[in-house]
Amino acid sequence: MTRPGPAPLAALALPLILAAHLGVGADLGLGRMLSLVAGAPADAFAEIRFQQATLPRIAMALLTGAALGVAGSLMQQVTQNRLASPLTLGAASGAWLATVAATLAMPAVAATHGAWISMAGATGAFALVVAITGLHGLSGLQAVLAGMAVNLVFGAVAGALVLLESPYISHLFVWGAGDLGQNGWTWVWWSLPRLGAGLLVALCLGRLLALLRLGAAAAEGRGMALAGGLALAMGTGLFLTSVAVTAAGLIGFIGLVAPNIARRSGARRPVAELAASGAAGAVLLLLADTAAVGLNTLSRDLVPTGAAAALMGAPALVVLMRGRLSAADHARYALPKGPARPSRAALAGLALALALALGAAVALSPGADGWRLARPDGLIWSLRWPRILVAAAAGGGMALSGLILQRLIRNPLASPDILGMSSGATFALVATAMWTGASIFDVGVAAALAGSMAVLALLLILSRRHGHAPATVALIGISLAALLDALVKVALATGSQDSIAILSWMGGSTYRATPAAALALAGAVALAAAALLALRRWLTLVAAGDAVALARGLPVGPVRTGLMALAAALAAGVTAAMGPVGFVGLLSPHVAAMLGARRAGDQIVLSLAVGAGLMVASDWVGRTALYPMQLPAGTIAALLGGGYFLALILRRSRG
Amino acid sequence: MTPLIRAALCLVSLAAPAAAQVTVTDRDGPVTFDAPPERVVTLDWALTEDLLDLGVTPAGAPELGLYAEWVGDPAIPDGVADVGLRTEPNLERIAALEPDVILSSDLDPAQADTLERIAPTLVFDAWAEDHDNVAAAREIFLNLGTLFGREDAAMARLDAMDDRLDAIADEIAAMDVPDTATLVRLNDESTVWIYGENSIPVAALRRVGLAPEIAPPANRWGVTQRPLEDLAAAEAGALLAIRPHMGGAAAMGGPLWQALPAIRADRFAEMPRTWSYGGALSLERHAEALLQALGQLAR
Repeated sequence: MTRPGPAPLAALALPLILAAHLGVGADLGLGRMLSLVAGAPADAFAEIRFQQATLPRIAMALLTGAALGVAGSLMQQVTQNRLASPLTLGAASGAWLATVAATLAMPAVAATHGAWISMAGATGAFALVVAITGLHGLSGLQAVLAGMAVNLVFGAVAGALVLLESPYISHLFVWGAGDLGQNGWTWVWWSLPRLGAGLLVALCLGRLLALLRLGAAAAEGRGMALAGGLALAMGTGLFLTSVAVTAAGLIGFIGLVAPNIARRSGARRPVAELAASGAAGAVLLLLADTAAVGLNTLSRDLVPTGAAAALMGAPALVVLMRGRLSAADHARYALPKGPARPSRAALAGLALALALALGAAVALSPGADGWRLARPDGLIWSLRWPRILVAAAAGGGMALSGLILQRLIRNPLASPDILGMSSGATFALVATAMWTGASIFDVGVAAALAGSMAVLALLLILSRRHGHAPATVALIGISLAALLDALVKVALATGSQDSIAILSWMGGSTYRATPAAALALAGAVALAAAALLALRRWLTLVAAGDAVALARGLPVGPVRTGLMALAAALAAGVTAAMGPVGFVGLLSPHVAAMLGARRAGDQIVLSLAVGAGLMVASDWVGRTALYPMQLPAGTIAALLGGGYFLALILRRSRG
Repeated sequence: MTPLIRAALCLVSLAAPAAAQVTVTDRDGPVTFDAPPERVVTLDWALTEDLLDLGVTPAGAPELGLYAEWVGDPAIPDGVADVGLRTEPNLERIAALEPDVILSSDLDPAQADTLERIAPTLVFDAWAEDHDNVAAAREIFLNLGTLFGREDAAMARLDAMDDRLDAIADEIAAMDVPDTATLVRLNDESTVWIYGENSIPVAALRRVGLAPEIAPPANRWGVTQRPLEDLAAAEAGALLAIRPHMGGAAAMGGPLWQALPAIRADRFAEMPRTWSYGGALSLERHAEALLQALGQLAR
C-alpha cells in the first residue's frame, strides 16, 4: 500500500492553514502583507501588529510545533513506545512545576535562566518515571501510566504553591495553558538557536536510533556504547521540550500525535520519522493556533493555544490508537513482588501505623501556644471528625477503585485518576460551576457522577471494537484523562479569583466535608467493600485473563461493565466529597500486595486500610504542617505517594 | 396624649435596653445581636479593609503577609491573628480566637453552616455578575457600621469619601487630560487584564468624571483577560496600568507595546499599588491613584 508521503501532505496543508491564520488574525490586504514581509516600513498599528505579533506568532507556532514533534519522535524511538511524549512521560509537567517553584523562590533567576530550570524539572520528572517503571518498562504501557501519575503529583504540588502565593502567580496561569501570543521577535530569536541546535543533534542520531530498533543486544553487539547514546537521544528530547515549554508554555498532545501521524503517513527510517514528525508538529500547532486566534475574536475571555491543541489532539490520539492496537489480551495481572501471605509483623506494623495516624489526626494539633496533645473539646471535635472520616473514606474508596481497575486492566499501575474517571468528575464539576456561575463547592455529587459515568461509557464504547482489551481501555482512558485535564487547565487560564477557588478544590481537600457528606461517603465505601468481599472470586478470575474467566463460567462482559461502573462510582463519590485525589488508588493496592495480600480478599482489606491510613495521615499533615495555612490532603497524599515510589526504586537498585 | 406623656415615652424608648441591640442585614435577611460584637474574625481582605476603615481591629483576618504586600492600605495593626488562607481559613484557629461574630462574603451555604457552629456568621453578597459590586460594597460598609454601633462614623466616612471624590473630579476636570481612559493590569508579555463594567476601578473612573474607552461587559469581578493587541482600541483615551506589574513588566519592553496608539501618543501612565477587589473605600483609593496617574499625563 502506498500512502502519500508526509512532505507533500505538509506542503499542501501549510499554505492553506497559513492563509486561514492570516485571514482571521491580520487586518490587512494580501498585497500590503507581502510588501511588509518584503521589508516595507510599517506604520499603522495594524501593520506593526502584523510584523511584531502575527508573524512572530506564526514563526513560534512552526518552531515549537516542530520541536515538540521531534522531541516526541525521539522519545518514542528511544523507548520503542508510540505513546511516549513530553506530555505522557511527565516531562512537561516537571518543567511546569520547576518554573512555578523558581518564579516564587527566585524570580530574577527564573526570568533569566528559565530554560535550564524547566530542563531540570523535565529531567527530574522523567527520572521519576524511569524510577517507577524501570528502564525496561519504558517501552510499555507502564511508562505512560507512570508518566500520567507523575503529571498528577507534579500538578498537585504546583497547585499547592500557587494557592499559598496566589496573587504572585496569576500570570503563570496563561503560560500553564500554553499560549503563543507574541510581543515582538524576542522569543523567536531566543528559541531559534536553541531549538535549531537541538534539532540538528536529533537528525545526527539516525544510526543510533536505527540500531536501537534491532534491539539492545544487537546494538551492543555492534559496539555501540548504548547507555551514552540513549542518554544523548533522551537528553536532546528533554532539551527540546524544555525550550519549547519555556517559550510557549504547556502545549500538550503535539509531541504525542505528530510522530504517530508521521508513521501513519509512511515515514519508516529513523531520520525520516524525525523529520516527518517535526513537519507534522509544525503544521498541527499552526492549525491549533489558527483556531485559537479565531476563537479569541469571538470569545469574551482569552482562548490560549493549548486549549485548541488539546481539543484537536486528544480525539486524534484516540482515533490513531484505536486503529493500531492489537488486542493484546493474554496479559495477566502480575502482582508486585512480596511475601505469599501477609506476615504477622506486617499486619502489626500496618495496625500500628493506622493507630498512630488516627491518634495524631484526632488529638495532636498546633495552636497559638505550640503543639498540644489533648482530647479535642466538643466544638473542635465537631470540626475535626468529619474531616478525618471523609479522608479515611476517600482513601479507602480510591484504594478499592484502584484495586478493581488494576485487576480488570491487569496492570499494577492502573487507577481511577489515571484512567480519566476522576478527571471526568472534575471536569463535570468545573464545567457546571463555570456554566452556571455557581461556586464549585455547591455543584454536588450528581454532576460528578454524571462526569465519571460519561467517561466510563466513552471508554466502553470506544474500546468495544477491541473486545474491551485491557491495553485499549487503558490507552483510551489516558487520552480522555489528558484531554479533560487540559480543558480544566483552560478553565483555570482565566486566572481570576474564581480560578483560585477551583484550584483549591483541585488539591483534594477535606475542608468542606460536612458531617452528612462524610457519613454518606463512609457508608458507600463500606457497602462497596462488603460487596467486593462477597464477589472476590470475580476479581480473582478477571485478573487471570478472559479465557480463564470464561472457562470458569464467569459472564466476562457484564461482570467487567459492573465492576468498572463500581470503580467509576467510587471515584465520583470521592471526587464530589473532597475533589480529585491522585495516587492513592494506584498506591494502596500496590502496598497491600507488597505486604503479602496476594489473594483478592486479603488485598481488598489491606488496600482499604492502607488507603484510609494514608489519607488520614495526609490530612493531618496538611492541617498542621504550615499552620495556620492548610494544604489539601490530596496534595500531601500525592507527595507521599511519589516519595514511596522513589524509596521503592532506591531499595530495588541497592538490593 | 399630653406633651408630658409624650416626652416620658420618648425618654423611655431612648433608655430602653433595646438601644444596645443591633440589627444588620446579610444574605439571609436581618440578624439581631444583643450588643455590638467585640471579637471579630474576617474571612476576606475587602471586609478586613472595611473594618479597619471603621476603626475596628479584627481579632483574626486571612493571609496577613500577602495582605501587607498587595493591599497595604489600611495597614493591619499588631495583634491581629492570621487565620490562614482566604479559600480555606483555619476553622480550629478561628474557634480558638472565640469570636463574637465571623464576617464573610459569598460563602457557600455548607461552609457558612460549619462556621455558624463556631460563632454567628454574617455572609454578605459582595461579588456577583448580576448586581452592582460598588453599591454592594457601600451597603456592606453601612451594615458593618450598624453592627459595631458606629453607624454615624460610617455615614460620615462615606460622606467624606464623596466630598473627596468631588474634589478629585474637580481637580481632574481642571487638568488637560483625555476624557476617557482604559484601566488595565499587565499580566505577562502578551496578555493583559482589562477592567470593565462592575469593577471598582471603572466605577472610580466614572465617579471622577472620565468614561472608560474599552470596557468589557460586566462579570463577577469586573475584569477580563485579553490579548495585549486589544489595547490598540484605546485610540483617544489614556491607558493606565495598576501596579505592581510582576510578569507583566515584560510587556512594556516589546515592539507591539511601543506601537500601541496610547503609547505612541504618550497617553500611558502607571497607577500606584491599589487592591481592586477591596471594600467600600476602595473607590476613593482608586480615585487617588487615578489622580496621581493622570497628573503624570497632564500637560
